[in-house]
Amino acid sequence: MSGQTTATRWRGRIRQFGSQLGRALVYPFSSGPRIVTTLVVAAVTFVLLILSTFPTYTMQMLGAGVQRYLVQAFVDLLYTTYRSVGVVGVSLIVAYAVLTGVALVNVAAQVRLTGVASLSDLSGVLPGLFASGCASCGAGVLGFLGFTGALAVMPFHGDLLRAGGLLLLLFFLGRAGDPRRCRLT
Amino acid sequence: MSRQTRRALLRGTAVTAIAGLAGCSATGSTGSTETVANTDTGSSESTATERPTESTATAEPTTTVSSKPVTPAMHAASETTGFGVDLAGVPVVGDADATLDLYYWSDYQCPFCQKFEHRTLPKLVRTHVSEGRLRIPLLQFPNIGKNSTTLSVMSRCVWRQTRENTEAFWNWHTTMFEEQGFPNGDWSKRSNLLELTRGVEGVDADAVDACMEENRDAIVSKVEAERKRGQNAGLDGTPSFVVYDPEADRSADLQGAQPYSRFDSTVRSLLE
Repeated sequence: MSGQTTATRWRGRIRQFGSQLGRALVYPFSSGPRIVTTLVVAAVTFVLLILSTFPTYTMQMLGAGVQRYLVQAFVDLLYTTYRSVGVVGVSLIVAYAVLTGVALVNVAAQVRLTGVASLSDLSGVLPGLFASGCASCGAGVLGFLGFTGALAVMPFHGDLLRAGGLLLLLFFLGRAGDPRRCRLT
Repeated sequence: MSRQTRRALLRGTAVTAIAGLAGCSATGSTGSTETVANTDTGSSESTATERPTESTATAEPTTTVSSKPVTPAMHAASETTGFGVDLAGVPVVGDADATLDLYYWSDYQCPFCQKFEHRTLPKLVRTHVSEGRLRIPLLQFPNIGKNSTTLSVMSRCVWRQTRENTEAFWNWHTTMFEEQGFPNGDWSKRSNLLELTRGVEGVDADAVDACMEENRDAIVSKVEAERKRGQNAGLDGTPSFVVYDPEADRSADLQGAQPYSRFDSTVRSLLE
């Protein structure tokens, strides 16, 4: 009896989490300006993640001239990332970039709509953003720096780490829900 | 809380988040540095650090150098250089009496190294190497799993039998980069590598196989020492380079498959 009650309670929690996650993912695409902001943040994040796959190379290239070498550094590292981790690995990075855009737009909306009271919500989302960000881009860093040996022994060459980062971010997004409605106390 | 404060908080949050993302992965990054090697210790203790500027490169007239494949002159060496690299058993591109050394650490499984081999190396060979300014020791930095080590050992075994016929070594070297697939994929298994070697004229695959059996441990130790030398110089990935001026005992590092113009400006700045 109590087992059924526990199962029912869990089903309800999962259903509620799914519903909140859906609302969190939909909000950034619910108006033109939000879509543009989300895509811009996602694009910037993607560029940063790709450039961070070989930080010393990126620093040297950009140090020699941002205008002259930024595009080349990005294109070369994107190509190298694809050649190293394939379509799945690049797709995971794209997914992380888009979710980052979603998370930041939601956080911005929370602050704008509810002010300082929403800081409790921020504390729920931002740790997830940092943790999943490090998990997601960290795999790339390991892969292209001197720790590639460590990456080689990781499941699926770091893709599992990236997927873990994404799941973490989804968890925190689902916890926060729709920025206009969800309140964590 | 006022609207202005909220906006400021919003901007701060966004900037912090993006900076955090960038920062979390930027650990250990360094800029391009020019260093003076400490020959007593063989390490590159930085006694004078300076960021090479692009002014030299931009001041140079823009010349178009072909990146079509080229077979360079090569030689065998046996000395330990002023930078602390033991060249015994290391294939060296260029003339023995070149003005500068360009130490090139690579991994045959590394796609970025393939990029350098295709795009930049031919240009360097056609200019600074052929004009006697550079020689390029081909050092190993196996860092993408055990197949990388197998390739490093195989490379040294191929060099042992082709040092009098360096064109055969170069054909083997370029074949490995041409056939490069995903890291640690089937292409990099020892049996497949030996098959690829069989297809290279002038290289006896059976002799390479025997050499790998007999000398693997010794070669792995040698390669490990090369990799450690690179790591001591602050290099942490492939391809990586150190341009070294033995006369002045100065060096500058370049990391990643940077374009020819970056190598050109670094070489010229050391020659000044």
